[in-house]
Amino acid sequence: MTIKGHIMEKSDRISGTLSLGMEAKQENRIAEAFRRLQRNKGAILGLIILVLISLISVFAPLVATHNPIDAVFEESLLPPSSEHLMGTDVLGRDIYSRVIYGSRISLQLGFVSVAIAAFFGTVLGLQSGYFGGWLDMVVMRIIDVMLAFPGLLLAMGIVAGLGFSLTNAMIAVGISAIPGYTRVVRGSVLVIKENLYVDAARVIGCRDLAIMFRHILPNAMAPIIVLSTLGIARAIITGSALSFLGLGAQPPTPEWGAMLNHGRQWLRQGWWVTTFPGLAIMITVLSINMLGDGLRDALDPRLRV
Amino acid sequence: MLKVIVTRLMAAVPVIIGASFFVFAMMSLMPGDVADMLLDEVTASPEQKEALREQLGLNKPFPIRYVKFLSGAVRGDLGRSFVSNRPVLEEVMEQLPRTIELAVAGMTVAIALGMTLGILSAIRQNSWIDTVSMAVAMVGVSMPIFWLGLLLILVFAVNLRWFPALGQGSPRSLVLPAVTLGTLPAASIARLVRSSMLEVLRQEYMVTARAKGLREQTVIVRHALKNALIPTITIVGLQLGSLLSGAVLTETIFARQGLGQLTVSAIVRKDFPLVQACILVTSIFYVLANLLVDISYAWFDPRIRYE
Repeated sequence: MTIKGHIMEKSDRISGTLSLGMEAKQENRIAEAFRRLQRNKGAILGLIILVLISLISVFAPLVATHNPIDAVFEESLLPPSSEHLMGTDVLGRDIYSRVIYGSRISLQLGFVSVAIAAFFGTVLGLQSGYFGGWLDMVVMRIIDVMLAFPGLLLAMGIVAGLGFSLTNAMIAVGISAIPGYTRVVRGSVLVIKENLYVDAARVIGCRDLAIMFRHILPNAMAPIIVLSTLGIARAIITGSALSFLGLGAQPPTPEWGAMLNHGRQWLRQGWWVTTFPGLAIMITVLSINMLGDGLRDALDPRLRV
Repeated sequence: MLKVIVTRLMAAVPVIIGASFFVFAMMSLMPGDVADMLLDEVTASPEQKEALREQLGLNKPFPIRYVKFLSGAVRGDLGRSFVSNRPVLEEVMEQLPRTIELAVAGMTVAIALGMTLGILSAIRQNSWIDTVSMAVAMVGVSMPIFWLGLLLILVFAVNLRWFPALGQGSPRSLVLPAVTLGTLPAASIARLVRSSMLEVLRQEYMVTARAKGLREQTVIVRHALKNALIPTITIVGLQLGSLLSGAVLTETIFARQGLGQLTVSAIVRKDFPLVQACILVTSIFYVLANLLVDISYAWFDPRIRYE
């Protein structure tokens, strides 16, 4: 084959990948993944429960029967009844209403901290994998150092510096989850950037930023989506653990972990005080994990650990 | 083998130094003045505050303070507690054995429970055992351990009175904390052992082993399990982190003394030298434990050693 012929053939392949081929393939892949997800009963069940919890948190004022913060001292530690579906705590607050309002806090905590982690983790991983060189080395060493702390300990250290509040807990949980995203995104970028369409984009004069965000990132989305979904579950657990230790949401916030911490002193007097908030955390996290597992199997089975 | 050990050890040194910088920066760059916090704002004169800053070395620039901290750390001096005025390393080392005891007990539960569930569901794939074990594992990874601990106290200490709810010392008081701590890693181990067993069971040497006429038990234990164990070592290493995080929560739930409990109380009291020491020692412990896992990985799998 002549050189000219070779170049023409290559440019044919390039334009093919760039125009029709890529979009059609992309759509096919999404449809295919969605079909696989639909077949997974656990994932669908998880999705349904998660949607229900989200609806409950949005319409919390309508679903709750009492004010979640009002203390009625005459009604201290009442067992579950038709008036108080999940009983009351030692301050006479309605646990059912507190659990309902707590869903707002936990979902918010999950989404905000994952947003922080996914954003910074992805940007760092993307530039590290794409540019390589000394910047990559520095970033990866920092990530190694962050991984030298068990997750909760890192979050605890950050909260110790920032102060105890729900917002700081979200920031701390978010920061401590960054390394996972950086590593996975960097790994995918290293593979993706060897593809012909990346060369092609460079040949037609795309700038680095455009190549990174328009050509590489969309192809690295699968693991990011899976990690983020499972990450929400992990963030809710870590965040409520911080509140359980008294380092996160402060009273009288109806946060599930804080409710468990408050209720454990009255474990002997009222099992309901800790049982229902704990159940709420578990159901929420379980539904997200089931959805996440399904997404992983549908989008990127290689991530299975 | 020696080369593997030396290389891994060398790689751990910069990570630990980095960790010390991270911890130091976290505590130093926070807003607020330590002198204001430690001394009574009304009664303390500005001179007293200045003297305290001088004494704690807080009026020096950050890099100098860090170098001082690091050179002290290398010699085993991490400073004194703001609260008790004792050397913080002494306080940490006092608590470390208690946490190691809890972690070892938790890991034992995790490995025993996780491996049993994983192997059973792999050799009886798609049976009811498999379904139930994997459902248990799914619930296990979704369960907040601080709630699990409270439930166990409620059922086995308050209602059945089989085990003490709080305290430590006797082996009986270690049972509930160990189960609390071990459940989450057990669930992850079960899921991984199952999938790696399933993979090994499909290999050709399994057919060979059966064709040779070996007993099923020998085939499973000697041929399948041995090969399926290698990825399991990795997950045990990965679970060390959740074990150390879990120890903090478990110690709080069961009112046990230990490094986790010390860390939480130091954070609440804003005893920053002690917080630094607790987190740094935990991370060094974590890095070294991972190193051990890495090395044992090379020990068990010759393919890694010769790469």
